[in-house]
Amino acid sequence: MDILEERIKLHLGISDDIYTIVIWGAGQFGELIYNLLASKWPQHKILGYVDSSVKQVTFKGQAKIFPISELTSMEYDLLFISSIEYESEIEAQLNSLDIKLPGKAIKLTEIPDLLLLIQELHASRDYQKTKNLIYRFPDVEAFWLLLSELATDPHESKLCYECYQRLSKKR
Amino acid sequence: MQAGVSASEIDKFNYSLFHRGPDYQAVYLSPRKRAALGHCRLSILDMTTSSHQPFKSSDGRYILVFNGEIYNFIELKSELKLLGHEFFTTSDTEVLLHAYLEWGTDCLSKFNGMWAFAIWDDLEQSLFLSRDRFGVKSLYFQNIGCRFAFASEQKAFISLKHSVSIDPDNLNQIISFPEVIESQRFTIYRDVQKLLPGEYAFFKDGKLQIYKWWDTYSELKKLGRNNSGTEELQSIFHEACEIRTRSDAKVATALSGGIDSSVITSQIAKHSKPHHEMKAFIGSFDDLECDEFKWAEQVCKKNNISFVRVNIDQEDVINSFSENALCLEDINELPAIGQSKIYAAMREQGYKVSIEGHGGDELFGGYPRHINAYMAESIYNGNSISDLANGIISLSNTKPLRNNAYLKGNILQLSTDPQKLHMKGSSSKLYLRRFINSDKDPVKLKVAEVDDGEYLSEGLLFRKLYEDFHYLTLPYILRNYDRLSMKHGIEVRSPFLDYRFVLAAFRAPQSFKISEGKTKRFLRDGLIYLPEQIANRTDKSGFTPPMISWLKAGLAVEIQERLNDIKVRNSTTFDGVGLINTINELIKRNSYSKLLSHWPLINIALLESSH
Repeated sequence: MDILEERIKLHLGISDDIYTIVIWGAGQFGELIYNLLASKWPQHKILGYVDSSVKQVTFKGQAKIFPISELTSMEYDLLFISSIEYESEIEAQLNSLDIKLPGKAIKLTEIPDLLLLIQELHASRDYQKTKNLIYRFPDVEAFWLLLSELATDPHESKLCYECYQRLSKKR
Repeated sequence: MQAGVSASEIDKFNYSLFHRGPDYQAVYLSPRKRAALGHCRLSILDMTTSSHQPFKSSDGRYILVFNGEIYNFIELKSELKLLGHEFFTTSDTEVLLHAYLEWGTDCLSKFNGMWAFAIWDDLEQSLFLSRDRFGVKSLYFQNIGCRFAFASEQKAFISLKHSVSIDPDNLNQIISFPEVIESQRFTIYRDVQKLLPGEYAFFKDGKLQIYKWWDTYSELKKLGRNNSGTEELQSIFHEACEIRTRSDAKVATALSGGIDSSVITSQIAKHSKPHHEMKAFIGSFDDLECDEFKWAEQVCKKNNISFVRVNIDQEDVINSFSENALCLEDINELPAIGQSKIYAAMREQGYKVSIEGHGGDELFGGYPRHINAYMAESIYNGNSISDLANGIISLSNTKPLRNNAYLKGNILQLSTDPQKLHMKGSSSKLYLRRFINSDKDPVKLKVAEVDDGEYLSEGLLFRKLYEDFHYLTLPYILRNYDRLSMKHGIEVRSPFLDYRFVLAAFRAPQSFKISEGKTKRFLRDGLIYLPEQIANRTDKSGFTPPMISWLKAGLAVEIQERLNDIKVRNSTTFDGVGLINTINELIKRNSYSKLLSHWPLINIALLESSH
């Protein structure tokens, strides 16, 4: 399973609920999320995208693109944020619309219960488990930081710390 | 052929490609006027009149027209002499014809070179056509009714009775992913097709039959895997460079300051002869962030090579973007900027050959997507956290992944499917499809090797490199460089594309390609004559012009004006008014990256309005 597919699966959870979904951002990444949802989870209903570049409803293939202003009147269960570069700005915009993260809106760069997981790993100091988590979540800097602390090989530890830095800092 | 050809028609057809062979032009009309062959010659080997083409066999039965070079012609000539063949010239053209007479279609596997050629057999009234292994030289054809026409460029067909036009259905199949077109039989033009790399064909009695004569993967299976080493690659590389300096004309190199062209320039300097007057031509941009001149200069100084700095600025771009689009005559993801001026400078100084580094990126993993394949492989094998970490660090040194958000987005999209690794990012522009007057679906890239279970068990990096080399990036690059160089009568030669080197590179272990996050390891470590700073570079991103700043500074307005043409507005191929409005809107909003992403459509508009 590709990383993005696993990440979406994690956010959708294992319940049998059927969700109505909106994707924020009609760019290439948004399209990738749309296609994955449509092909792997056809039971859910995708309303379409919301995107700041449109002033009225338009189409991208079969999918609708709504202006952001319509979001408050739309009925949906989950909103995937596809613009990673502007995640915090979008988060602020969503807060102003009273849509709280986490819950209804999903940042794909985050994983549910991350803090809890990190606390557990810190407590157990389980090198192998941390490493396995990195293979599943290579974009999450917190695991790289932890592995840099747990690795006994100084070279590996240095590399992991370097990764943590590259993933966490805006350069 | 077949339907009868007039002298004036073949003259016109031939003259349309005059730029490819400014040294001599001639046509052959068969006695029964059922066949006509035209040729424009760029004399590089045996520059005398005895090697002019169309080239006839001594009995007059066979007539050859040949575009390209057979680099091992000296060795083949010795072999043929032992078999009783007599030679009267010192060219590879004569050797090619004798090789065909001796071995028939088997001659192709004996050739080491690049070619598109055709041989007319006047006795059998049949035509034999062939294209080289990797498609360095193009061969297009039009097969309508009983009439068959072929040429090295598509623009030649415009002069024929059955003229050509852009086909919206063909266009809509590839507009969102233009690279894919070189692995398709069809072209963007209605009724124009191409012979694919490694194919040959016979045309007889109005019937065309196409055969595949070269398949890299089958050859690799015979030779085994992970069994070529540094010494073998070095030795083949040296020989590949040596035979590519076989030229009676002056020899140049196009040097960018990156690893591939630096390696080639350094090696060619060792083999060049005084009459080659070898010189490196370096493209240089006025935007310092994109300019690579200082790196290229280091290579020249280290190898004591004289060089020419070719400055490419905003004005050049404004003057040439439209002309270059017409020269390329096909669909492109981005405009070709700069290369044409470098070739013009070579020609101005009397050079006819440019030896270059094409293929290095696709053989040894030079693109960020290759690091993605390397990372995806380490994730799914779950066996090397260091490889994964090195991959992330390496990617974070490249633009735009220096931004950690882009870096994370890139990692999230890692996939075990080589095609998904390719389509992500700017390559997939499905939004362009809404402008085309067609409902045809995008073409699905068919990689023939996936039908072979053994191929599917290959590593992801191997498959990505193999597919980029044979189906995607390289064929597209080769087509463009052929057009841009031949526009000025310059022949590009590529030592990395020597088939023996290609086989050895694909057989080499992964550590020769990407290891410890560093790309192109063999070229950096195995060919030790690079200046150390260049061998250790991780920031090179190809010959990349500062497009956005040029667009801001006036190019965008120039494009806007060029599109404001009645033929664009009235186009039946695409929504010209929609395109003009979109471009106007993007300029108004200063969205230059987005404007650039519409280039495939602008490119088509320029082509169509020129017809």
